[in-house]
Amino acid sequence: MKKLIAGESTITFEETESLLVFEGSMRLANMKEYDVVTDFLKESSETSPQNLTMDLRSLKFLNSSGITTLSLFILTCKKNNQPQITVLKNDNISWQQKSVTNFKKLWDDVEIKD
Amino acid sequence: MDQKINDKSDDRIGWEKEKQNFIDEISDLKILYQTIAEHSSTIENELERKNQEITNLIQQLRKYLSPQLYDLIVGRPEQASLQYQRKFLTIFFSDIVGFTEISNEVDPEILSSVLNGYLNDMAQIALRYGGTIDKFIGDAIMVFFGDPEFTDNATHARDCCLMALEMREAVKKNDRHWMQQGVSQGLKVRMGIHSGYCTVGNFGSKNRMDYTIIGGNVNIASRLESLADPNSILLSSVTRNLLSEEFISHFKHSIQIKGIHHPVEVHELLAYKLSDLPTHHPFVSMDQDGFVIDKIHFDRTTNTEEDLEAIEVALTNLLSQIENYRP
Repeated sequence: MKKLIAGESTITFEETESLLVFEGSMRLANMKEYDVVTDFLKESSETSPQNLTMDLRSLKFLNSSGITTLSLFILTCKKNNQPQITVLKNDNISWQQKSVTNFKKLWDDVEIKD
Repeated sequence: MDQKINDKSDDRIGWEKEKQNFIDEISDLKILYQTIAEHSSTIENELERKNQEITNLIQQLRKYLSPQLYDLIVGRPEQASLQYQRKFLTIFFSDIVGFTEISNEVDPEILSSVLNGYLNDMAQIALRYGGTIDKFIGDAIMVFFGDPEFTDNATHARDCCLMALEMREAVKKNDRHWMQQGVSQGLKVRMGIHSGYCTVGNFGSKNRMDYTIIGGNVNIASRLESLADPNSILLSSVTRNLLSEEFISHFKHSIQIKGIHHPVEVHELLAYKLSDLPTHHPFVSMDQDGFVIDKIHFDRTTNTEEDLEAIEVALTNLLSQIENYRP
């Protein structure tokens, strides 16, 4: 298990389950600060090239730089055509209602589950 | 020749592929832009909703704080910390005569209704005169003048006494209402006022603090209140000396208060000459030496209920004055 602490949020990567769990409020100041998140996601996708689940259900807040980082990660996976991405969302958190669904617009192969 | 044609064809295929990649990338960027814009809008809308919630909460908070204190906390939150200072203040206490007996006898719903009505009336008057409502302690009210906004000691004493006189008039109106609601004793209130140096500030823990005042002078004001007769206002000589001649008061006696080394001279505040209170001493003109009774025409065939009540109030006041002046 690998863990990244990014400000008030954490990302945990369960290698055996190819699972990324996002928790807390992700509000890093700018895209530069999100480089650590980008690297962590990249390493995780390389470790699990077949499929990867991103569990966002406990991510209460994500700022604009954060959604850009996740979206660019989806686009990178689309370009590489791997891994297959599944996103778990929580509609009780207002930002997730629309923004998570938009991942599918970026790459139609993304699977979104409540 | 054929090689050249093949090279051109490969270039064209490569260019077409690059063009397609470029178009796909622009398409992705468009979606990405849209995603970010929608995400930002969601956050902004949420922010606006939360702001509205905070505004509503602050509006609720306004009901429980003096306007000065409200402005201080809302405008400069760093001020709401555990700080204190010594200040010369005028302190007011009041409580309802026999409230324990009333609360034992009266239905809790009725008691709650009339008590809240009374406290609300008193709070409105206190706020109108610029008083800081320190706290409600059951039926008791504690108000002080001089912080957070400081004008000058004489103004604070004057405003406090005018407030007390207006409260007394409001109590008389409430008295009738309380009796109509089934409180047989009606409403009688005692009040005490004193001026002096107090320690004022926020006391308590970081999680729960009260903006209040402490010190021996606070105790003197409280003690004066407890010594007052029903519907009378007692002043210390310190407050009395800050008042102008427009205030009519008379010396009652000196008292020794536990914990205070010197005797406290007690005065009773009777009236304010320039008062425009509508029900203030009807049919009676007060001056510092006594009073003059205006013509009272009692006619059982023409007097209304209000006329009779005004006459009754005037005569009751006069009897009270005579009793107080008797050596």
